[in-house]
Amino acid sequence: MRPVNRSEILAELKAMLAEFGDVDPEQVDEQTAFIADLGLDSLVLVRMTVVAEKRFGVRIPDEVAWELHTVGAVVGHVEQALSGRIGAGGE
Amino acid sequence: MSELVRFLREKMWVLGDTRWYARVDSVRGDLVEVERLGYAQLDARARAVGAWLADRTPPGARVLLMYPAGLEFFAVFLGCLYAGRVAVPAPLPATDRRALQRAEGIIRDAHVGLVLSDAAHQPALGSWLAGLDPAPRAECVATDGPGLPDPGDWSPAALDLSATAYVQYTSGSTSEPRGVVITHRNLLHNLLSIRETILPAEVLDEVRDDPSPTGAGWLPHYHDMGLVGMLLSPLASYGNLVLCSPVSFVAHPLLWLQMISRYRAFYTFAPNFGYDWLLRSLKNDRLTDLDPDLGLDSLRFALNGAEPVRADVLNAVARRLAPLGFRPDIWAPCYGLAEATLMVTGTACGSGPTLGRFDRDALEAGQAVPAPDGVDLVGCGRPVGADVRIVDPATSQPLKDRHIGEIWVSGDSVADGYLGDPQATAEHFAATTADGDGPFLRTGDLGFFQDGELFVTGRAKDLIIANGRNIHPQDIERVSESADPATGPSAAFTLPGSSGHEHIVLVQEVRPRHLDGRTPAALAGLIRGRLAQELRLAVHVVIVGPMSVPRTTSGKVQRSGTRDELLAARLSPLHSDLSDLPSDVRRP
Repeated sequence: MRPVNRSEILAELKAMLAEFGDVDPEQVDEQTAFIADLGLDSLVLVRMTVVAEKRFGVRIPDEVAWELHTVGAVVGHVEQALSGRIGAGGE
Repeated sequence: MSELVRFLREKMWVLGDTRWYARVDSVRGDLVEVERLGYAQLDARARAVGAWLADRTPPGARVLLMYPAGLEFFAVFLGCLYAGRVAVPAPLPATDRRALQRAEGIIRDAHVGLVLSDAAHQPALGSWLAGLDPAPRAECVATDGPGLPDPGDWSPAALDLSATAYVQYTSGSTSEPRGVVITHRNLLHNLLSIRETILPAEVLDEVRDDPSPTGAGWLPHYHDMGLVGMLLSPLASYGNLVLCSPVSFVAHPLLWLQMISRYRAFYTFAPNFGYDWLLRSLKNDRLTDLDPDLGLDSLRFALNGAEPVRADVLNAVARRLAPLGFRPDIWAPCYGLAEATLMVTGTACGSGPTLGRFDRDALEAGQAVPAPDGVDLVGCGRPVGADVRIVDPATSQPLKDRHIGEIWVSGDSVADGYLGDPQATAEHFAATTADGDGPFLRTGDLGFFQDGELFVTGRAKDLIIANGRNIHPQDIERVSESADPATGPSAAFTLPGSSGHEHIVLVQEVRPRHLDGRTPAALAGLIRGRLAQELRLAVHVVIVGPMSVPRTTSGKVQRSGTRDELLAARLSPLHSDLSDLPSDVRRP
């Protein structure tokens, strides 16, 4: 089932960070920045963006992805997209 | 018709659609072929584009090609060659946020009058062009709609081998793009040299008579290795090519192995970071659990070039993929650069890589002394139709075997120079050795020869390589120095980490009067954030007091000097992101 509320989205994102970025979920909160705090590289971010689109069933266009620097920003984008305010899409 | 165009078209005419190019993508974990063109179809498409360009642009016009990964780009690139128009490949903004800024620099630098793309990207590119200030006279047209003339309308242009084939934008920081002018002669010579070096005569005969040999790769077509090595080489050696976009590979690394497996590819190619990414992303999964049909036993060589070739990555990949039939002797390391079209040295199919261990202290002192417990270095093969010398960069004196110096190259693959930049061209393309030989291309890379094999030990000065991106330290410094009124001059460089991955470090001078009560740690955090946003780079920031960064007598920041000071603990930082990883950073 797709995650629907903020805490479920956050939990899924933490799981993805652990899976693709070897990040300890304990280290992560909404303020965490992917590059500046976690030191993730561009390859991990590209992969996570594509996987996130599929898992959450939302579109994350490149120009949007570039601006989502923190975990909270991604959670917010996914939440809005799922609630139809941005327009859900994808698969 | 230039000899190059005749050489390429001859293959298409003889082989027709028995050979092909195809692009695949990953759909729910499965490989799906999304497009395919036979040689003859590709040729027809290229002739149509060539006829259209001949009608629409003056001879020699520069045409910017901004396409997604795929066969349309290749057909249009060939069309430019057919018509005697100069293609300038560039990335789309989707792959790099600063691509548009770069493209604008190229349009102005190369006096581009026409931008070609596909129908999906033309509207956005068109409005971007219209919004530039001052507006260039360039317009953007999509080539994949209706309206191209009949391929039969194309008539061969009379072209000498000295005519420009394309401009390869390469090194040069973001603000100063640098285009290498590649002639028809350069490209023909490099394609033939690659073929002769990599494919021994008996292998080439085999490939010519067999319609099945296929290469597999995912490199970006706007880089020299993607354009010449990936797209053009199969045509030169009668082969097929299956490709996917770089983003598809990064997002679905398994797709690379699926391409090799499904199409029984006999070779593949990538820079070190690609093989490393495959390793990192496959983790501990059992490969046959991921896809039970995977098999790599068809591979006869795996090129590794464009970045320093690392022995630990070769070994780890070979071990990891061994259960699928990958053999360590298929590694074919190579060395090259866009200024020499592509390849300068290479390893023949079947001969296997040369690994050596050399004493670390001797290497630092400029000599390669074999030592059983030394540093692992990988040989990058033998010269590919080029005269390659090792020269003392200070005295221009040629050096003997096992002595480290700058790598100098001459031959028909070496480009004429940088577009519209006679000064940089003279600095890089017109070197003469102390005994009067020349002209040579100065590569800026360091290395030595041992038994005819080139070992590369260092890279172009100061250049930072991260995940296939060449990053100029001045781009990092510029972002940081403009991030806040409290940031003064800075120096960016790398430190090797124990895991083999390099740490990017920025030593930043602070202007204390502008801190306004903030701590140096807070300033470091702000800079890290800006670098992450602007350049997508994770950088360790070290804040130091005013005038702490070493400078030359003329006041220029010395990056290697700053690095030495930092390692010798002579900088007294006000804040250091490195304090939590001292054991990870080893002395170079």
